[in-house]
Amino acid sequence: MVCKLYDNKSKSNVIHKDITQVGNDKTVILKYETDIINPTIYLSVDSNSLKFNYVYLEDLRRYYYVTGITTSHERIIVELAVDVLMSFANEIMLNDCILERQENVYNIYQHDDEVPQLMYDDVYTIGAPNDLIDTNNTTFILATAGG
Amino acid sequence: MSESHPQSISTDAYYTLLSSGMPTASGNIPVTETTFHSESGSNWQGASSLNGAICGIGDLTHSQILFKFSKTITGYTNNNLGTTTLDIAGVGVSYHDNEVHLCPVAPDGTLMTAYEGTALDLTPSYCSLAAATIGKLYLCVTYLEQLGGYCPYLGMGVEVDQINHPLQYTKDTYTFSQGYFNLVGNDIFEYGLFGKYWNDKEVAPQNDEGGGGGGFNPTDEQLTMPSLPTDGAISTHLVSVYNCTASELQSFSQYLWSNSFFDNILKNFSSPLENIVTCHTLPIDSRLIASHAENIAVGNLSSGVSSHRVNDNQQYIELDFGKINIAHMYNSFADLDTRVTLFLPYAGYTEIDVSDCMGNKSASGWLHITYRLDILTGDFIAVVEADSPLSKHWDVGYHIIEQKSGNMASPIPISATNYMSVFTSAIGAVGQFASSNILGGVSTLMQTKPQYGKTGNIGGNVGRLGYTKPYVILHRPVYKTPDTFNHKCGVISNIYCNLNDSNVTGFIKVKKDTFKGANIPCTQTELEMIKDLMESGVVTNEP
Repeated sequence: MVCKLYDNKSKSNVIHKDITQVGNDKTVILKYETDIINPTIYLSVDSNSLKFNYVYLEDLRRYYYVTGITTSHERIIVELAVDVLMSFANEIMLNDCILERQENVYNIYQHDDEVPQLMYDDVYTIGAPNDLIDTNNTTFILATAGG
Repeated sequence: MSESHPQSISTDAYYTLLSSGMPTASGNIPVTETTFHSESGSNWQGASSLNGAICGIGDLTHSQILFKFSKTITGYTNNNLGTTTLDIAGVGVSYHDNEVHLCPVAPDGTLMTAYEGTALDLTPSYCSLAAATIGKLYLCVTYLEQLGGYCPYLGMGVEVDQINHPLQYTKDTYTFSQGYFNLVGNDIFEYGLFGKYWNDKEVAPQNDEGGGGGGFNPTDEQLTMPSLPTDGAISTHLVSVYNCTASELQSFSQYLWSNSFFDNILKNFSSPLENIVTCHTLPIDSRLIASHAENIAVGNLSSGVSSHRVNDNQQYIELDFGKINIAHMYNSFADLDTRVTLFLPYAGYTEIDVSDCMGNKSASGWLHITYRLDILTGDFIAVVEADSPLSKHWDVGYHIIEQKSGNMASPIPISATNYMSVFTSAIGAVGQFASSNILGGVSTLMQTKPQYGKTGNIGGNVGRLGYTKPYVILHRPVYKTPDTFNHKCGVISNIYCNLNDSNVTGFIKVKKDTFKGANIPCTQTELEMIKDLMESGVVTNEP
């Protein structure tokens, strides 16, 4: 089975991983009766054997995190865990859904409880433009009966 | 008209127009001042930050009239000024060479020499909007008391770019050496005191916050205040109301306590002071109340004291405090967490719903405060109109959101303690001439517990000691987020869309059970893993 070894610099919640291939493609042996989600492969030892943390198995068409490595004579046993985000990135991005939170597509006027609010307020005062009541400019009103 | 004002051209025009309604084609204002004034102060500057024609005159006194020109400049594009020559000279201004010039118009309608200095700067930098209609011209005829003269000043304003520069005023004001300023009725469709709100609202809110609009389209009726009543107690002539000066009241007081007054009045009334319906002060300029010269009369007796009798239709007047613009700070929900408190002189504080008046990045919201005052009682109703670009009412018009009553009269105690000693002395004199029945009536008055005439209330007296201009207090919340907050946590969205949308990049958190995972060639277990990840938050890619 053809295998590509990578150095992954992205966190696990990133869909499109930032990966760099380490060495050439390898031929690996899949452990007998292994799980597609958590497979185990056997890899011969060479200078790149311990410089990867991410794997692509062509036959399974999936990317995997390396979760464990065990040495045994002249080969290493690599335990993997499927990365469903990277493996199905293109298909995932074709789906419709309701975005609960998003970095660029959002509703700015919906209250967001996750935005931290400080306990104090900024206080401003704004006066009306026209000052019509003038206590220094008094009008005297006198009303008398008749007229 | 106040006696403290000499007869002046602008004052005449002021009152003439005030009482006669809309100016007509023959409404010339003759100008005789001989000075040319170029004002470099701040009166006309800073208007661009305020919204509406009224705001550029903030430092002027109350004695001013605003006239608005309805001539609309058309044919104007973003980077192409003056593509159409506009003929608006007939209303006193001309527009050419990307400048607006003041042009006094002679009585026969011909233009006189225009002021050729730098007028309004209509360079493209002021105008970021491409529009067929760019704005309106304004003329402000002002009357500046504080300059020590009584000369009319003319200032120009043009509303160019209503979003970034809602209103630009010239920095210069002018008086004319001679001639007339011709008010052409067809082109002046509204005028008023103190910068009446012109009801311009061409700026539509930008709908860029996403989300569905829904199909609900409620009907909305714009409520407008009715015209002020012109009939009232004054118009019945059952009472005569005078707009007095202090010296006139002093003269009247001397008459009031003279023998001649009591000789006459006691023949008809048991209590002479019953003929004084009310005497109080109002904290406003007397010139706001249109009146005419007339001697003060009590019943059918003329006191011989000259004063100004309030015109029949002037019992109710309106005080327009103008608009208070409420600008946004965050341009987000955080603006709507602002607490808005409005102070109304003589009426107190009132809480305003922030959604009625908050602005956004497109335009400011505002509160417009007017008082409708009954000068006979001092009672008033404060009317608060508001509008917000956030509101769906924005296109419909402003709304009346608050009406609050109060009283701003301070009663002058004619019939109480301060005057009792005087009154007692007077009774001695009266008693020598009055019949026993009449004297009995006066004795009854003397035995009565001293009381001040209840023409006002405590609000009038206390309010006089407080702040006298409406203002708002904004308690704006303070939100602090780390620089990478949006990328790490996203912003609340609730928008239905395809993840392949070019705008959907960065952090994504999918609402539970809305991600179907269609057409993903994976196992059910893997699909559940994908859903869990999408619902807990993923990032499309990292830089």
